[in-house]
Amino acid sequence: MAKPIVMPQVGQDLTEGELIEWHVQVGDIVKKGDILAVVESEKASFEVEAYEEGTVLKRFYEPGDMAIVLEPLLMLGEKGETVEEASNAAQGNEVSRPNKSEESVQSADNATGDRPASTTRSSPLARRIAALNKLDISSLKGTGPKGAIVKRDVEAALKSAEISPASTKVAIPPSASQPLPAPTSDEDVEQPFNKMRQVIANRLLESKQTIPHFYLMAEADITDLQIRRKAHLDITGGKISLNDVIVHATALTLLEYPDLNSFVSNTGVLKKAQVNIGVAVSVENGLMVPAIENTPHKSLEEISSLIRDYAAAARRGIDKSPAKSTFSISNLGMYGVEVLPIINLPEAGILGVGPTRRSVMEHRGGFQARDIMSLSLAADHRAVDGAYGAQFLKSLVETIEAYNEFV
Amino acid sequence: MARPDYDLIVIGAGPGGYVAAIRAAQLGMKAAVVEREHLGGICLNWGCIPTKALLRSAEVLEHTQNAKDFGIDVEGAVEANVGAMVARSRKVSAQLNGGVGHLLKKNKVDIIWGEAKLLAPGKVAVAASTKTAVEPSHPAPRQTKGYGTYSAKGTIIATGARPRVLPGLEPDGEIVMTYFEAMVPKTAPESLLVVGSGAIGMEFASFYAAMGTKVTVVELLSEVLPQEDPEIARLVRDAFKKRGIEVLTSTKIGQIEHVDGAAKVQFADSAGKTTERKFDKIISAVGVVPNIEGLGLEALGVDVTKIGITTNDAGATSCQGIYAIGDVAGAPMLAHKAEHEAVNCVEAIANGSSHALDKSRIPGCTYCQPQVASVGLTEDAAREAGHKVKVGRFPFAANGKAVALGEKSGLVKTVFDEVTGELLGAHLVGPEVTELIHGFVTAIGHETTDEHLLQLIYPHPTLSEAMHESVLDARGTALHI
Repeated sequence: MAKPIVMPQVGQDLTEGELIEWHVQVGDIVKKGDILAVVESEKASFEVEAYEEGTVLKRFYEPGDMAIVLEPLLMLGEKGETVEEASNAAQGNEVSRPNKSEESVQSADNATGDRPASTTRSSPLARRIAALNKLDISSLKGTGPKGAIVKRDVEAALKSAEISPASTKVAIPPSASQPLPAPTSDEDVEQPFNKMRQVIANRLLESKQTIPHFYLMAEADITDLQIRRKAHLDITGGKISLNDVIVHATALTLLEYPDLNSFVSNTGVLKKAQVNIGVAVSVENGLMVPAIENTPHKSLEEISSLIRDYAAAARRGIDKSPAKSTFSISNLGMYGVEVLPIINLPEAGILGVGPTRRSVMEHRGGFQARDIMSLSLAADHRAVDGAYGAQFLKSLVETIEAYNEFV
Repeated sequence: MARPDYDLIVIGAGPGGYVAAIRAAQLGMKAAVVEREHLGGICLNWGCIPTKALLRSAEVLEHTQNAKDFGIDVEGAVEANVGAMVARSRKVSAQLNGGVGHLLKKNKVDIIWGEAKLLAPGKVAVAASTKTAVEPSHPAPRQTKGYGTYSAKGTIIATGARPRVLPGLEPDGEIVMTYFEAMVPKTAPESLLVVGSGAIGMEFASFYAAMGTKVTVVELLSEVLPQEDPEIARLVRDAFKKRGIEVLTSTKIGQIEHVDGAAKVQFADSAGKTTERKFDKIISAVGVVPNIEGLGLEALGVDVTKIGITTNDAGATSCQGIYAIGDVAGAPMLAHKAEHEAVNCVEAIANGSSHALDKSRIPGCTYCQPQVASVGLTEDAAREAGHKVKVGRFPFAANGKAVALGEKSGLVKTVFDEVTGELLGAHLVGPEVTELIHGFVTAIGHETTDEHLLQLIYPHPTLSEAMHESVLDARGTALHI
């Protein structure tokens, strides 16, 4: 019996989302929880998980199509079941099928016969040039064999970025579903909090009002770290981000500063046995903090892949992490701004990661351009004092600068 | 409207044309190829293949002459039998010529025997050839279609190129030769002037020198093999001089006077100083020009320049339904480029998928002694293109296999971008480098970087280890030097 997997409703306002890529082919067997596709809304991209099991009989959209919320993305069924049976079943289930699907499915079958342009295939040179220019290669479309990203693709992307640095998102037409701006109306608009927003509001108000925050700032010279990380990426083709490294380094440092890895109340602190680093993830109209269980005892590779997995799930509104965070990190460095974060209740501290700036510094007897990352620590003064916090931050800077746990 | 006779007609059965016809047939098209003279084109009748047969004879001769160095006593005089060498070379050519016939037949490609002219897009008239066939010719294939007008949905022009003729250096069947006559000598001349030091000139110079001819190579530019990296070219020039071949660079040819069955040739060097020399034979090897005449292209509005038919990445010309590939579509005029364009063009016709040909990734090989092979940018070209370059060098003298073979001279030079680690070019001179270059072709084609090449394991003992060492040297970590 064929069953449709429908395009999920992610966020109240979402009516349709662009299908970015398929993770399954017709004929693949999928289990519950498998990632089927990546879909992008106006604000975020998210993965669509299988909530049924079966063999993929048909895909209704091609990458680039707009998928309509709560209408089928693909059909699952028994192996050998035909597409007609599947679509009949779909119609029997009172789900309509987009008209253009027939045509597009056919052309896709003719075009390649195998996997669509996958964003993971790329040449070593393309990866190196992208890394040197701080370009996220996974965002590119490849023109090499079987859609592999090759040098010309990276160069084209760099060139177009040069020409139109700010032109990318200019032409978003204002729609009724967007609260800001509302040029069609002169009236004020009232927007009640949704459930998630209400939780965030309550918790942050409590944190800011009841926790005596104090702030410390520091800078880390990550020039050498970046060289080691990029060399590692070049060799392995892996996806370790700077953020992954900071998460691991913070966890390792916390082992020596247990007072900052605790839950604080008005009557005392609960020193936590495990260090679980929470990573703040910006999601549609809100914020989630999935935690990496027992972070210091995981490899960098594991941490990196868990963060990616959890962040993707968070963007779908799902908290996949099994643990509760004991210390959190808020990284806004990619926006080029400094951050003074608010403590994630009931934790004792939170690390803010600011931007990395290239500065000329005195280094080993000469002047050199160095990559300097700014860090901030917000700590609960009930749990720790300034000197303790300062020692932690200094130690963290040293751990980050010397970090070499790439395997 | 009547159904056309063919989906695709290819004009010319050289390495571009016959490959296009085969690929079309594989993709389910009804295909025909028009040929007026020889299946396989210049490449396997009067070019690449028969010269390799002659050069192999020269190599065996030199090995035999040097047999004593390898502990082999040869009794009696070791002498070249030029006639027998030519006969072998023709036999090799004939075998492959017949092979192309079989391939076309197997793929159900019709062969239309005659000379083609485009009357309109999709309309090809085939009539008797206006060109005298070069002798000795191989027998025409059996079961060909005859003269007439044929229709097709698409037409590919793959008519190749012919020797460029310089004024005063017109081939005369006696003294001045092109590669046609130079390929079938009855005997080795006493003295020979080779005009032009590109691949063709250098290969004939190498062959005739091995036959005992006193060879002079004259080049207008400042170095031989002008397409190659000057550092490599200089090593070839030095090796030629060592073999007794005279090399005159930056030298112009003036008056040529025929006297008593020989030629008196005037040379002018860059300072303007003139000298006069006498040669029994002259080979004119000053490049090739595309065969664009007589096809009716002008009348159809197909854009043509002196360097060939103008096409896009997929071989499409300015005229809908007419395509061009290979030498007739411009430089580099190499068989492997023609084959690549053939497949690319036919696949574009069949399903619209094509890719841009990156000319910097087309390798070039010259089979003179010593051999030369290269791919990508020369060191100078890389610098001119704005790269900050890192160069690696490794001599075959430091390679164990080369020493064992007794082939110690030569160099592997690699050019990398210092920032990205991109392999920009590789330039080789020495033993069997024409067979080695594909390693670097693969590396460049897959966009590997120096770091990846460093980590490869090359088999020992092989000549290819010198390639690895050259990469190591570019990083300053060569081991065996």
